[in-house]
Amino acid sequence: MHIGHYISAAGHGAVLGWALLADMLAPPLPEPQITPVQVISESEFAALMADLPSRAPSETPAEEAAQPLAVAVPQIAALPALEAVQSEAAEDDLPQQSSPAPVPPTPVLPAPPAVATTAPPPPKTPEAHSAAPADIQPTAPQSAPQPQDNIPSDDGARRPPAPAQGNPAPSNETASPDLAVATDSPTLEASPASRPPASPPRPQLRPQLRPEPPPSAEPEEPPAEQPDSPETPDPPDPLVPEPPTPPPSERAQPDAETSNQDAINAALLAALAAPAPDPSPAPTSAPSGPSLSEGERDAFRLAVQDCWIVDAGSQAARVTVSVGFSLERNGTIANNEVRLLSHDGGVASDAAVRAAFASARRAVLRCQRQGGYDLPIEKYAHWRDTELTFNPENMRIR
Amino acid sequence: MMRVPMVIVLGLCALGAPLAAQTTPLRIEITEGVIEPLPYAAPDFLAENPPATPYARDIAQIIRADLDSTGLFRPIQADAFVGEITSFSAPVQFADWQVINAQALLSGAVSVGEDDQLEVKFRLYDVFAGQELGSGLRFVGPVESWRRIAHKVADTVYARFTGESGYFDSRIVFVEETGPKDVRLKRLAIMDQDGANLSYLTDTSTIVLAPRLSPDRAQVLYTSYETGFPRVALMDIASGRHRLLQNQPGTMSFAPRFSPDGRQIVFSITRGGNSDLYLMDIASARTTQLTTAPSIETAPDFSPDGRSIVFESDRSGSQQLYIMPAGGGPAQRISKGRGRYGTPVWSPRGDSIAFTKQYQGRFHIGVMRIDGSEERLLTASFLDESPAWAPNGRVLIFTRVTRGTSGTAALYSVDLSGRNLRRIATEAGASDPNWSSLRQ
Repeated sequence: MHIGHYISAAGHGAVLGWALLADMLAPPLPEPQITPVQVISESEFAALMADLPSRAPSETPAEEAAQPLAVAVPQIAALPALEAVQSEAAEDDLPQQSSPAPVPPTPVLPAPPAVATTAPPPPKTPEAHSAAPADIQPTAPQSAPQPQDNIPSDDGARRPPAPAQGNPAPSNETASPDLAVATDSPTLEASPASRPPASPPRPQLRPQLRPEPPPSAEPEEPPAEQPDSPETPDPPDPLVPEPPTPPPSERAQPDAETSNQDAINAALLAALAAPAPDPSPAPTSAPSGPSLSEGERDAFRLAVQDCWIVDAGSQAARVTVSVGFSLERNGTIANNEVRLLSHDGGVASDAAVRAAFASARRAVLRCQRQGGYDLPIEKYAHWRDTELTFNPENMRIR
Repeated sequence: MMRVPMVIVLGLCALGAPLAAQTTPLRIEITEGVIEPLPYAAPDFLAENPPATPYARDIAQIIRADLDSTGLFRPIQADAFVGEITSFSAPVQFADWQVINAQALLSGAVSVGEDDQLEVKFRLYDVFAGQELGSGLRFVGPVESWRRIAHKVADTVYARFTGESGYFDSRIVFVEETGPKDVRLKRLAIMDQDGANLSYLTDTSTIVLAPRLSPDRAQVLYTSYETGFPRVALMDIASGRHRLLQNQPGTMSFAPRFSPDGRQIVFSITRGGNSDLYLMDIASARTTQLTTAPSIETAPDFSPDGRSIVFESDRSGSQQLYIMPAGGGPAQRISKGRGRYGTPVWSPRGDSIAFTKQYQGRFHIGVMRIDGSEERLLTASFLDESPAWAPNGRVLIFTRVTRGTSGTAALYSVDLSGRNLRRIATEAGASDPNWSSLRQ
């Protein structure tokens, strides 16, 4: 009945006994070695180091331990490793980077093989699709509703009178009731057709041209992207030396003059760098890192406006609509979902607003089909959520 | 010592940045687009039973022709199709239509019942959105009305893309002209807006001018010379019977127009060389004089709300456009440009007026706002005149006469934007067009 209690008491007793008697049973500690030291000046230290043969950084743990703060931040910005990874994975889809991507160096080098093996098949152009449509056909149509079953069989109640619209009889030159009846006699009835069929599985417009980075490559995210996700690893701990030390040529040279305060300032500048001026009224906060340049914004604008068909004479051309959507990292619209955020058209009818929104939505969705919008991946945080305002004022007829 | 503050700073940055990222979307304004026809696919409709086979093909052709005539849509040829509509109820494989850049897809099915009732159902899809644009509809009518049903479908498609009502299921009344220019024979004719179902309302024994359809499309006003003088006449289209509304000796009446409710007409009467505007109640024949100026006032037209009348007058010394209350009163000149303005017609939208302008030896069809601003000339030729609006106020139809002794009159249409000038095919010469309201 009390076996458990006995076992527990014995166990606790053994632990307490070992804690009390362990020091008595242990061998005596060796005598500590004491090395005398003295403080030397910086110039003396430099002169001393100049006499020593150069060694690989990996062989100088003492030096690295003394300089982690000065090394960590500038080193991140110096490695162009991301280009190498993605250029092998999907080089056609990479945005052209004007400067080395500021990525942590560690996981980059072993990444290419993994990325290459997990990369999707090569992108198919529309022509390729056209040649082999079966290759990109979505799953076979699912069982669709039968519209006939859903159409109310009210024909009898709504059937118009006997047909009165005859074929043209232009030969008769006299006014004739028979000729004149072709105006309004047939009564047509409009009724909702059968319920729309269940939407088929959304076809894959194209393969993932720019695959999501594999887990191993996650640390490759540039610093500007790291804040996007709470799961994103924290910045490298500057207190811990980088395990694989990069070549000295790629490392920022430790500067004995660099103080910790400078390192803090550098970190602040990197983390809180203000985005480029945004002409639109923007919130006071912004994603970290450099925002899209004017050229990148213009390229995005041009890509969309090339697909924006404006009916200049319509009432919809008097409506300005703002639409919002989220973009995937490959530049495609997330879930093909485009939302109407606002509209401004004075006395424009609801139909005109709907037409204006539909036109804007078609523009956004149609121009992404060539593999997504060409936006700099390292600035994903800045364009992940996008709002476009379609203002036809300059195009409408007056 | 300084490591701890740095850790704190970096931590705060890491925590704060995600919040910032979620609150600052990229904002861009698009101010330029392209003006081009919207490519769409409209395969032949499916015939759900053998009698429907010819209608399935022809109805789709009518729809494509209607939409193509607007200049706003461009049908994609069937030989470019990758996909195929094999069942009206089957899910659409949007990728098949996206790959040919079809922005819209129209699918439909036709069946003919044992009672010769034609049933046409259709769906319209926004291809790139991957969803249906509006609800599917069906029309039921006698098989003889298959063209009207096709026009109805086209009107629906047009409306869903433009946000405006269509104009395909409408008719045009006009004066057909045959024979040499000096001995020209004229008669009233009426046809569908696409030229089909042509029929004649009068013979060539009497000169007729300026027909105008009533809002319910059941009657037509026109100017007849059957008495030897111009007289305003009213015809019931179904029966073919007509009567002169004004037949006072020593006068001439012309340029009639219906009021928006169809109960009144406004027209001109000339007495002693002076023309003024008059308002007549059709049922009672009670007539009210609207203008008393010693000048020529003619070509009146009601505003869509019936409260105002636009007309032309030379009271200022040259032919100009004026607006006055429908019950008469002070008129305000709205035309301000150089040249002579005439034949004003108020847009069904109510916001603009179309007119004929003669300037420097050329004739133009133009439009202006009702206050005379934003004048735009849409056409220019040797002789363009007699504009009339499509029922949705988007398109103008007018008469163009070619130069020379053998010159002929023909009907043309032009989009309100000034684009898409087209000649409307008629069997003979044609002039004085008037567009009916949209049929119900």
